[in-house]
Amino acid sequence: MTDEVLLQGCLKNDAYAQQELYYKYSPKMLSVCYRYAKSREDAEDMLQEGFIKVFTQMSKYENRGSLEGWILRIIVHTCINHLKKNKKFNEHVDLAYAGELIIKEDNIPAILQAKQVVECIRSLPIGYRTVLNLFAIEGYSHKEIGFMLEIEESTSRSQYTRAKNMLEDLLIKKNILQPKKENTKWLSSVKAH
Amino acid sequence: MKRYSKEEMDELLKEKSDQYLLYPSDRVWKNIHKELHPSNGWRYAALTVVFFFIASLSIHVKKNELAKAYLNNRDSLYQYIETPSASLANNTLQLPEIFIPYHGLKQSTDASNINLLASRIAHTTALERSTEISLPKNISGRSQINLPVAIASVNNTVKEEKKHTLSETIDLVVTTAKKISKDIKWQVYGGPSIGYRSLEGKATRNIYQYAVYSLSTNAVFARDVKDVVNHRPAMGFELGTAMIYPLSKRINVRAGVQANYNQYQIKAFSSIPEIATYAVNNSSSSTPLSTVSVYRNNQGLSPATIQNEHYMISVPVGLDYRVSGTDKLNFSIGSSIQPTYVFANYSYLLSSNLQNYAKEPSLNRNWNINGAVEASVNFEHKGYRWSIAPQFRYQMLSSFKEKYPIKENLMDMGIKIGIIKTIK
Repeated sequence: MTDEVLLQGCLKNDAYAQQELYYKYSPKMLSVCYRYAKSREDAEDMLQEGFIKVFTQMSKYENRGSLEGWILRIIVHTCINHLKKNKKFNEHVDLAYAGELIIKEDNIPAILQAKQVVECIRSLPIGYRTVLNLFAIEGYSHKEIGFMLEIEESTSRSQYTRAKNMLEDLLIKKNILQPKKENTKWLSSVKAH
Repeated sequence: MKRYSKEEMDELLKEKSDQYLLYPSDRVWKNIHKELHPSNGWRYAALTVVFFFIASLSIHVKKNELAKAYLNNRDSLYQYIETPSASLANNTLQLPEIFIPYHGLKQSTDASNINLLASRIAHTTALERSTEISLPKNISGRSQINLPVAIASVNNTVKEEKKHTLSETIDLVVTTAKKISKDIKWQVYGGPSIGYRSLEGKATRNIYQYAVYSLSTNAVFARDVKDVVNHRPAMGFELGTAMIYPLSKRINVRAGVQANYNQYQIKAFSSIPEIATYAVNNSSSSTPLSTVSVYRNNQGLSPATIQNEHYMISVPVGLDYRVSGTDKLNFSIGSSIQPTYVFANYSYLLSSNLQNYAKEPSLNRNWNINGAVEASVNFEHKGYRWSIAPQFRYQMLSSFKEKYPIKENLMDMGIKIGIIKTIK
C-alpha cells in the first residue's frame, strides 16, 4: 500500500490504514526513540505518544516532504519533549569529567555492528547523545538544536564536539572505528624512546 | 566486519542508525488503537446498569415489605395505647402478640404522660409472660405514680425490648421468607438453538526480533480475519431451571442454573502436518506459541469441516416484564446476565498468520459472561403455565484469552420452551 493510500485512510480515521502505517514505520521510529531514551520501555512510551500525535495531527501534513520525514520530525520532537519533561537532557558533562565516566560496556552486546554503534551512542551522557543524534543523524543545524533544547547554539556545538570525541573512543575500543595511523606511529615512537 | 576510518564516522553513524531497526511490542499498538478508537465500554456499562437495576429493585421491594409489616404492627399498637383507661378499668388487658416499640421515653411530671409510660411498660412486660395480665396496682387508672420506680422500670424494660427487637426481627424475616417462598415459581426450560460467532482481528504482524535478525511468523500481513474465515452456524441446545419471584404484577425476577451447548462449523482443508504459530501478547512483548496443525485455511489436500464445540454452565439472573395480557395469557420481554463457566472447549484456533487451524487449549478462556434477551408468550394449560420464547444469547467476552489477538464472541439464537409451576 502506498503512502498516499495510507494517508487517505488515516485521514478518514480508518483503523486498518492506521495499523498499516504504524507497521510500516514503527520499527524505524522505535530505533530513533531508542537512541534518545533511557530504556526500551521509555522508547516504546515515546513511540506510542508520537504515533498518537501522528494520527491525530495527520490533517496538518501538507505533502511538502515525504510522509516518513514528517513522521520522523514528530517522533523526534516527542522524544525531546519527553526528555524535557524529565529534565534529563540538561545534564551537562565537562570533557575533563567525561573521561572519567564509566561506560557500562557489559550493556553493549557485540551481536551486530549496527546495534553496537547504537548502543555506543546510547552510552553517552544524555545531553551529549541528544545533540549528537539531532545533528549527526537527524540532520538538524546547531541553531535548530539550540531552539529545540532551549540552549545556546554554541553550547550545542561544544556538546557535539565532546560527544563525538567520546564516541570515537568508544568505537575504536569496539574495533568499529580505526584509530588514526599517524597517532599510532607517534605513540609508538614515544614508547620507543 | 568492516572497520571505518575516522573520516567516515559521520557516514558510519547515519548508516548504522538507519540499519538498526527495533520492533515494538504489541502493547504499543494496542494502546494507540485504544486511544484512537475507544469502544466496547458500552457492553460493560450495559451490564453494570442491568445488574444495579436488578439489585436496587430487589432491595426496594424488600424494604417496602418490611416497612409494610412494621406499619401494620405499629398501627395496632397505637390503637391500643390511645385508649388505655378503658382497659385499665378492668385491670385486665388483652394484648396482641406483637412487639411494642420503645421510643426514648423522657422523664416527665405530667401525670397523663406517666400513665401512658406506665401502660407501655406494662404492655411490654406483659408480652414476656402472657397475653392476658393483671396490671400492678400503682399504675391503674390515673392514680399517682412513684416516678423513680417508674423510671427504674423503664430501664429494665429497655433491656427486655432489645431482646424482643432481635426475636421479632427474626420472626419478621422468617415470616417474610415464608411469604416470598409462597410466591416463588419454579421453571424448567430447554430448547434448540443455532450457534454462531462473531470474529474480530487481523493477521498479526509480530516479528520476533533478536537484534537485527528477525523472524516473521506470517507471510500475509494485516488481512482481516473476517475476509479469510469461512464458517457457518450449527445446532446447539439449552437446558435450565430457574426460580421466578414476582416483584410486582408486571415484573418478575429470576435466577437459576443453565447448561448450554454451542457449536459452529468451519470450512477448511486438511493438510500435511505444519507448524501453526500463535502470537501471544505478553505485558511488554510478544512471544510465539507453536503447535502442530493438520488443517489449513485454504489450499490444502482436501476440503474438510472443522467443528468447534463449547459446553458451558451458567447462572442466569434476570428480569421479565409483562408487556400485555392477563395471568392466563400474556406477552413478556426479558433479559438476563449469565456468569458462565466453559467446562469443555473443543475449538480450533486460527494461527496468527491466518493460515492454519489447530487446538491450543492454553489460549481458551474458561470464565465468561453472557447476556440474553427474549420475548415470550406465556399461557396456562392443564394447571401448568407454559412459556415459549425466542431468545438471543451473546457472549460478552472473547472465547480466547486477552493475549490471543483474535476475538471471538459466541452467539446463540433459539426457541426456549418452558414449563412453570408454583412451589407450595
